[in-house]
Amino acid sequence: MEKRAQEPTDEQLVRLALTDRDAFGALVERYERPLTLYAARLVGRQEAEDVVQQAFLQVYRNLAGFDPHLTFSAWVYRIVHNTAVNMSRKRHGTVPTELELDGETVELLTGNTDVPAEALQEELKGSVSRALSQLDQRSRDVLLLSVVEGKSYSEIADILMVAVNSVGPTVSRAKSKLRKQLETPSREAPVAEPHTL
Amino acid sequence: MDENLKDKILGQIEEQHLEPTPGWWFRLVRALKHSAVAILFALTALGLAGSVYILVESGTLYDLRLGPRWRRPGLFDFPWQLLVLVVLLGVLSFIVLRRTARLYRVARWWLVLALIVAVVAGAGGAYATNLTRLTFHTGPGRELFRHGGNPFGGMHDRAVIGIVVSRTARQWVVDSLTGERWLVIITEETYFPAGSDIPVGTIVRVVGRRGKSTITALGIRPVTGMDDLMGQGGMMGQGGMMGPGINIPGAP
Repeated sequence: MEKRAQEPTDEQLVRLALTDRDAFGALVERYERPLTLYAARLVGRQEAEDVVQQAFLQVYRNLAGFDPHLTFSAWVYRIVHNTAVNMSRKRHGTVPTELELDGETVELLTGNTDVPAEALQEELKGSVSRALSQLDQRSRDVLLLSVVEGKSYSEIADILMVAVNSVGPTVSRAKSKLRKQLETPSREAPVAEPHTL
Repeated sequence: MDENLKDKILGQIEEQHLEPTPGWWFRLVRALKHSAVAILFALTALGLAGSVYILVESGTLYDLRLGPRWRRPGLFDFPWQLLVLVVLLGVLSFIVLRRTARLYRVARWWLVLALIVAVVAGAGGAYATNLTRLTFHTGPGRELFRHGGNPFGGMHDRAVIGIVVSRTARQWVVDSLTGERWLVIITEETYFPAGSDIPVGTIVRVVGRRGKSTITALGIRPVTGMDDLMGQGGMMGQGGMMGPGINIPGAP
């Protein structure tokens, strides 16, 4: 506990990182895992690492422009989000609508804590992925950040550059749409298997 | 997950000799953004004030007050150029403003409302302090919007010859000889070469900026026998000796 209290905050590390590359390394270490997971959900595991690398290089170049009114977490998530979207558009001409979901993400999105058998789990993943693809881009992003990443409304507003008071209603709407989609029996016979993390 | 992501990133920084962009650059960009917001806002407010000024000058606003016959102000009497510019500048102000100082956190409609209130207040200020008049009457806007901010045609037109039906200090009603009824707006700039004491029933020649059914008078004088000698349009009309906007010839 005592050791944790001595750990520098993100903002302190940002200031240090302007002159000290090790401090920047500490920031990378702190965020590489959650950011890679986030990028993987957005654009797939194959490209996630490229996205995070590019995003961190951009973070490094723009360290002096970091707005102290934002949290570093929100800032770096925004950069990763934008990099992911831009890279995906550049490489594939579009942003993927079917997200790569792992068991934990499906659990968080469906609120179902009973882990089903592997075959059923795959089917469930497919259903959730399809249901998510029916949502519009903004709702999907907000839902992912709120439910899966556990970000606050204020942070989501800063990451996606949207009004704070629009986040809550978007989350509720997206959740209810997702529930409806999942309740509707799928008419498609075979399910394309999504990749897992 | 790749265990060496951190090393890769630091290696790339080393390899590409990357350095953080200096702080002054970001301060400069921020200052430019704020200035852009201020300039766009000022131009939008001035444009709106200019539109109102032109509408008043052309008499179109008076049209609106005159009941059925004058109910619809003519399409050509509106300063379309300027109004389109106001809308474009307004949208641009909104976009730049929203990306400045975390204003994206504010609900979009509040920001639009605040912008409208601010632009209207700014336009009111510009109008009240005569800034609009200086800009659109004597300043750079005169040439730029010499057609009254209307790309389709000018507001100055041929002289109207008609009979004075009624008159107050600021407005006269003149029935032209071709059967149209004109509301003639008298401003402090209206020139009366023969004096302003023109009784009801006199046939007069009116020169000014025409609206659909209004004329902001630049000059009024009684018609004399001399006009007949000058042919159609008379001395002050198009093709006459004196074009509109120039001094009206002296009284007979």
